[in-house]
Amino acid sequence: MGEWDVLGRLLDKVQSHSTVIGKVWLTVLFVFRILVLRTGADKVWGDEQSDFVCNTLQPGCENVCYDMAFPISHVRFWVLQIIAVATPKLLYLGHVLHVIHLEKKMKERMKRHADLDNQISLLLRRAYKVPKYTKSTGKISIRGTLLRSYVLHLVAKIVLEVLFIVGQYYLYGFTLKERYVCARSPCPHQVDCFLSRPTEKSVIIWFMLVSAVVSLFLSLIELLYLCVKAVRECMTRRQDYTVTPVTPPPLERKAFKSRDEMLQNGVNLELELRGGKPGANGAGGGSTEAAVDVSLESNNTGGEVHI
Amino acid sequence: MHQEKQLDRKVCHFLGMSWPALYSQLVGGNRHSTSLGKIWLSVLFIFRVMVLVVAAESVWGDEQSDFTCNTLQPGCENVCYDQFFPVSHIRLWCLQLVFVSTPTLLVAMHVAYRNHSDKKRLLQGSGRAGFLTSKGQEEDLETLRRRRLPIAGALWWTYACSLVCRLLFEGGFMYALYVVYDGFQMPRLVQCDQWPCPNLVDCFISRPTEKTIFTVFMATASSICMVLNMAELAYLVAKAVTSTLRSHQRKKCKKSGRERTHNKTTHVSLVST
Repeated sequence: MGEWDVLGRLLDKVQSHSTVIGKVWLTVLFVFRILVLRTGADKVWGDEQSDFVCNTLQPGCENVCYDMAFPISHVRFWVLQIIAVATPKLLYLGHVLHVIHLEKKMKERMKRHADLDNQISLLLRRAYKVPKYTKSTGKISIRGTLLRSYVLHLVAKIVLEVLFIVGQYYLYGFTLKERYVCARSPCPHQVDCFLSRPTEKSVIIWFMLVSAVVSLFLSLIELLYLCVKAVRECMTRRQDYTVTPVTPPPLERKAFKSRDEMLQNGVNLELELRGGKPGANGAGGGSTEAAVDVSLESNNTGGEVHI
Repeated sequence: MHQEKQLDRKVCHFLGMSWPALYSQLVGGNRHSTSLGKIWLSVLFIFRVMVLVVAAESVWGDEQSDFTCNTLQPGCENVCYDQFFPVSHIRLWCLQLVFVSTPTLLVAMHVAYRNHSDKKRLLQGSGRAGFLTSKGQEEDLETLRRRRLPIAGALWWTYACSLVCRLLFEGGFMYALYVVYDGFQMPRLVQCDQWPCPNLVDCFISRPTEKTIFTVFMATASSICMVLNMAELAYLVAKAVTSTLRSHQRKKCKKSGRERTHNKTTHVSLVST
């Protein structure tokens, strides 16, 4: 992969923090766009200027006509397109790494205080923030601010993809004709210039265009999927509240397999306590079920989506 | 033309050893940098090194072979090309990237030196004490190797120096490019009357628009890197200033606290008597 290694490595890191469709998008990017660009397009466009021939002996005419016909070569255009489309994902990766870093620090702090007496530790935990994004399994769930930045990155990706496709259309159209007519100085009059391999280039242009459209389509589906999931979660939460006001969620009655899970459960309980009655003296976790329920409703208004 | 392209690539690689090796060196030294430093490294490699190797090198690949002058005089094209392109853009950018990456290696060397001296101290200490088992010693050495040093003290100065050096190199190379080529735009036509050209001849540069696009792109990426470096420097200075102020305050509080307890005890003793 050579020069694309660095980008590849960074995008691989984001893989585990994306949705399923996001992973498919990354595969499409690597296999259908980067690989094809490296192996095929480079060779086809290799002789684009040397075999660009104009029907004149005037020195310099071919240079200027080539420059007018191709302000930027297709290959370089696609390189910039791939980098532009991958950038929002890298920015999202930055956010995820930042969140992971903060959560790790919080967990370390909590582990230190877990050795103290139960009551004292609960009181101390109140003074500090608690990890919000880490699930009991240790993975990061996309919710709250992370979800917002994920949606933002999807929107940016879609906008950039559309801009590049439209830009390509306005620059060259989607097929290359074999003849280009040029009348720029120092060409003495209107001259015919002939491109090299127009059909082969058109085939590859169409291939790259279809991959770009497929990537765009995948991003749109991902956005739709996230919206639908968010709406559905919202509806089920509202339903739960009206149908089962007293039963706590079955998750809390599970036997704990590890100390981490126990810690996480304590954190969740704390969150609920704090969410239900701000400033209330709920030390020791002796909350009423109604309070738990109210806190459940008010706490999860951050648009949480479990993917 | 294809041969020339290959040669150009080799020159760049010779200058920069090889980019993947440089990347692994920089990532190693980057462990002890701030988050802005990590962002800077990614911007450097994705928007500058990658674009240079994948795109820009092929744009400049045929710069001399497709440099055409309106004359049949042999040698005229050579001298005119040499007059207008004393140093190619690609070579300037290669050098700039190599120079800009070097200060990070300074930080890596400082960290390695610290680790080495700490390791020596640890081994000496265990030798004297004699009760540390070999396993305990190994664990300590591992933590020493894996730990992330805070940017304070001498390391802070090395890091700040490296940032200043980076800024100077970036600025210097950008200015050099601007001065040598009279701006960031590549003209389509240049006029030349160097000997052996018989008169003022028109010479046409190949792909001027594409070259202008990439020159502007690289200049923008370079400016973004400079902004990141300045922000990182400001952040380091601010952190150092706040930590010194805080330590001063703590010293004052301790001092006043001691005085207060001293007064209280004297008061108590006065009352009791």
